[in-house]
Amino acid sequence: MESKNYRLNEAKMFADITDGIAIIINASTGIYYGMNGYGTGIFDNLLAGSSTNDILTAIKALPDVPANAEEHLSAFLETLLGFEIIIPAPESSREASLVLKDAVFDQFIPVCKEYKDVQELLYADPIHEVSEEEGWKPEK
Amino acid sequence: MTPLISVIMPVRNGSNYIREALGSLLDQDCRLQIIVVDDGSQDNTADIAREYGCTVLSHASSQGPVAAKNTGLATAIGEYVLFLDHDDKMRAGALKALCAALEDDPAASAVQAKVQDFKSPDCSDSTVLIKPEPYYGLFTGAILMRRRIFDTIGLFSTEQAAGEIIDWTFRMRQYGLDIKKIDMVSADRRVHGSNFGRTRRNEEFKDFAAILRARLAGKAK
Repeated sequence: MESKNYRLNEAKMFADITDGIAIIINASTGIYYGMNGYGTGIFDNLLAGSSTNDILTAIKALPDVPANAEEHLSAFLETLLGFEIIIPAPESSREASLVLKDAVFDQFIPVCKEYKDVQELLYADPIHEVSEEEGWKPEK
Repeated sequence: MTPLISVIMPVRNGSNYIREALGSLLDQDCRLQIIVVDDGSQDNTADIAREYGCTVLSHASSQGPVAAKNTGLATAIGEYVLFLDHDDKMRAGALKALCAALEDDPAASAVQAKVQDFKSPDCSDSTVLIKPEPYYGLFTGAILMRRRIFDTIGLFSTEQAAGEIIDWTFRMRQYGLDIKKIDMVSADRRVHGSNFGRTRRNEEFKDFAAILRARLAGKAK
């Protein structure tokens, strides 16, 4: 896997990690995303500046890591890119760390799911006056 | 006799706009109990509210908009309740129409209309953006609810500094309480450089995230 760096797509997304679970809200659509614990750990390391290789190294350092862990990591990153949660960032390196029990609990499969069930609520709330061009149109 | 509506207006240092908001309530042709909850203002907000004959409840120091809503609810005696921010304006006749819609549908616990954003004339911030079309509003001037629903779902959660409206909506759903949508614009929502949602965006997002996280945990059970 080619090493890359990513950062949060702050123009669209708000991310909050609490109690080991990431919630990301797309401020312009009202769609939100939830990750499992293992996915949150990977995401947290990405935001902290670890490269994908740094994260893969940390994964491989865990005991009993399955052979397809790298495939799952690649698929997870593709999912995050597809949701536009992350965007490419300048190259950097930082030692990554992951919580073993989260990885084992989630069977080394990082997951990020999309939810649209409160889209209307988040859409209507005043906080969605986002400043991006694709958000609300400026008053003429 | 038409039902009494309690209008609750939480406000802190709102002397700049509150006259417009209160004035918009005078055009409603309804029986109103207007409760202004002054959340520790340092200006003459409370005096203005008294000029308009409102019931004024004062917090000695600021407790935030969530607590202010609860303070207002504790004094509300109307069959129906509506919240209106001090910087927004009800459209003429809108409250009567909302009331009629709720009267006509005993199964509905609340009715929800649309609001239309407008840029405050005193706002010079070019980054302020306005939703171009009316949209179904969350609370301020948009939702008329039966007061008794709070006996079922409880007061607003003060665990959140913001995001209480989404929490309220989830609890309405949880208890199977119906919110009926009405295709009308009931209020104009002022957008300026210091809207609560704009100035405390990250804090509100964190509250939303906490609510959504709890929601996902519930789904997983």
